[in-house]
Amino acid sequence: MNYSKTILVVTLLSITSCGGGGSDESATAQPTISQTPSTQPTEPQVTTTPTNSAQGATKTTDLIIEPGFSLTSDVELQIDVFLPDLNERAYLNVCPAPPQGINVNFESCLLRTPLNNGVFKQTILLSQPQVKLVAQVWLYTQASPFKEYEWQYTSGELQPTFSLR
Amino acid sequence: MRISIGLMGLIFLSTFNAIAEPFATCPSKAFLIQQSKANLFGVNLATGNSQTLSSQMNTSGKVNAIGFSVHDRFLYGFGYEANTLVKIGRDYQVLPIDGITGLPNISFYVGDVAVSDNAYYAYRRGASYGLYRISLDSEDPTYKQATQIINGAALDLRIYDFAFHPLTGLLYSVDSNGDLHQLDPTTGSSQLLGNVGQSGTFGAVYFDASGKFYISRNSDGYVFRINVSESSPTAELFAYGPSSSSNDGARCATAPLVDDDDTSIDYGDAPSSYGTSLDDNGARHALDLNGLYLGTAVSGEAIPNVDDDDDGVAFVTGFETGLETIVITSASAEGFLNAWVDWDHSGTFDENEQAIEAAPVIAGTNISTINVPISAVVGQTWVRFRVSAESEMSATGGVDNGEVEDYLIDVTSNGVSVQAYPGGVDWVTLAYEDFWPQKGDFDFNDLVLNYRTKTYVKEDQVISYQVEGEITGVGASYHNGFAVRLQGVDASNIDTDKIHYEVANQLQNTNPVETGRDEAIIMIVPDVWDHVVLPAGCEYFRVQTNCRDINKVYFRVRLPLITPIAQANAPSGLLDPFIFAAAGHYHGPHISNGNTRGWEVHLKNQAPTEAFDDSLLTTGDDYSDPDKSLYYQTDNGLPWALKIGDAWAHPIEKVDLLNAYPSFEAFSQTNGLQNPTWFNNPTAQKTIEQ
Repeated sequence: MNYSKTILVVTLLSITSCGGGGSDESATAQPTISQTPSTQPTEPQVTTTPTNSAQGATKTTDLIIEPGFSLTSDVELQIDVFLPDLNERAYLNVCPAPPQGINVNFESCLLRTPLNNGVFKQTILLSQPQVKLVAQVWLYTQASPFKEYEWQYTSGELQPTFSLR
Repeated sequence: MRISIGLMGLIFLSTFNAIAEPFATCPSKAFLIQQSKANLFGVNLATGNSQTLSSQMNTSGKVNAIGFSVHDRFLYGFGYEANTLVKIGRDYQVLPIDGITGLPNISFYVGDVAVSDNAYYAYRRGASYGLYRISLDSEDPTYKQATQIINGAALDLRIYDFAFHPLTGLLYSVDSNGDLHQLDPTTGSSQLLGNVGQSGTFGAVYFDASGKFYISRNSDGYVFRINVSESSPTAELFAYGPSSSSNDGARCATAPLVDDDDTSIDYGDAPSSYGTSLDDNGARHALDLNGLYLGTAVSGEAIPNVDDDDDGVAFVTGFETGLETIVITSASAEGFLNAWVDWDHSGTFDENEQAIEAAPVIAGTNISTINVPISAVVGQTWVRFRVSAESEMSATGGVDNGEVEDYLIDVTSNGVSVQAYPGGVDWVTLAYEDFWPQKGDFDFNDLVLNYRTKTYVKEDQVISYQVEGEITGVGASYHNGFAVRLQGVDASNIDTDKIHYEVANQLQNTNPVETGRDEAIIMIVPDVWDHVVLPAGCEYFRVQTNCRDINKVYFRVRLPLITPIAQANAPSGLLDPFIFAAAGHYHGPHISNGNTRGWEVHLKNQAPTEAFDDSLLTTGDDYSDPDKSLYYQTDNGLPWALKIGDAWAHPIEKVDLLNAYPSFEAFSQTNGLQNPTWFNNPTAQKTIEQ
């Protein structure tokens, strides 16, 4: 923010205030909170159909956004591994699924962990729902994955879980 | 050594001319002449890669003692068939020079053309011979006359070639014992500069334009580099070149070793301390798209880090101290694999850090096991893989085949899980308006960062964090800092002795954990303006269309904990990134009593830290309501900060967010149900690409 921009914004706000009381109207229009936000922003569930903004808003300042909506697309995903027959040392990678014909980039993984006794459970955070994941279980004796699974977010899924069985 | 009629040879052969023509340029490639019937090769000294220039040189005998003349761009040497001085032009044909007088009736195998003096110098040891100068200047009264500079009894050196230093005009050679000699061509006096640590027959020696000296050993073809200006010059293995029983070399001493636009070499990517660039004698391989490489592709680079295809090594299991890990490599052909890991984070690949040694690989998939030492230092470090037809290999130096691939890996203690948000190589974007508590212009580019975190978990306890990012845009003249709070983690629980803290690729020797706070607040970039560099004519950093091609500013902080924290009680994922007003700079009228640190902007509905000045809440346009856990929003619920789920092309300066991203409207109006990836659909010409 440069100083000339500061002056410009202040001037525009002054004109709005003088022009017809728009700022007073906005100040009283506190939309109902649909979800109590936590200090760690998470994706809220929609309880109403909020359409407060003017139709076809052209400027961000025209928008009216739910106070409780933190404008994030994060999705919590539980990784749930249950492979009781796995009785040797193994390693799990959960990574973005590569395009067809391309190998998994293990540097890109969201989760990398040794597997003990084939049982593992942990929740990870996805930055956006439109991600497709691949999980590979590797043994320390083979040049190809022992097991491979894929997961993709299903819209409306309440407790997304990536189950590896 | 692979000898073939290469491109260079074909080009020159196509310009064959019966009348001797000089070379068109002063070439960076060295010339090497070998065998009893002379064959001429072009050698890239950087990699040892050689190509046959000609095997039909219009002579049935040897040519030796060659030198390249920068005066007329011909090669000169001693032709054994003609038993006199010969010249070689761009057609590679040996042309005896008539009328040379004053030379003894003996062949010469040590010779070069001076740089500052248009004359050829030849040497042969023995009392009947010595050092001779032959003028090549047709205007000189002594043209073609050989003059003895010094008798071979007085200058008794067991040398097989010498070369003129392009800057000092002195001659240099290394004898069979490895002794480096400096000769004054005007007097013939010599000076022993020391032993370079390598012995053998060095039949081809060269200088480059910077004055670095290269010697090629006949028996194994190894090329060594020597800095002759050092007080104790040593021979550093530089490249694996072609071997020969008969060898002589020459090059244009005023040419750089590699042309600036030469993309025929594959380099590594690790920091320079590991040996990456040519100056550092970095690992490098001659590019051969049809030869041996790792993965599906290989590319050449004029300088390291420009165009890499490092795709041949898969780290399918973690590097856990004291345990084995496996790596999967794919190779295009048979060869040998060598690898080094900087286990002690010293910034170099030490000899005892070779993790894979001359392991044979086949075309296709290969599995290798690496033993991670129990003493390996936990954290990110570099690993270098080299595949080559050569089995023996060091972590640096040039090779005429194969590929080098460098990777950053993460070494953990055993049993550690690593969570990466949003992923190991992906970013989320943090975009801030810094006019809070006044509304800004909503271009969300006052400070823009790429951002990701890692959380390290062992036995359901968080043991460490890592925060990594890049400053990608600064569209503000206010001075802002960037920090991350680890909510619920005591500041005293950060193991400050083991922190890794770097900004702009520079290790920081300060403690980033804010002092005097109960909670861990990591002041990663105290003032972004201290690190961004603006080209002339740019007011801001990567927010204007004419100022977008500027390097981003990378940072990384690794934060080990003293006492592990139960995962259920520990933050993870996004953590709490925020900006604050940098100390010592004006940051708007709302800051009172100089308390710049009391000014913070967090993501919407994220509470500020204990350092925040609570009196600023609900001033200006801020409609925070702490009782309802509502923070950093206007009366309309507009934020001052956005977390975007991908690496984002932020709006150009003064372009409104909705103008740049119209689909944000539906996203914001449906609580994210519609257009959850609104950030992937910018309006053309309204944003700054990553």
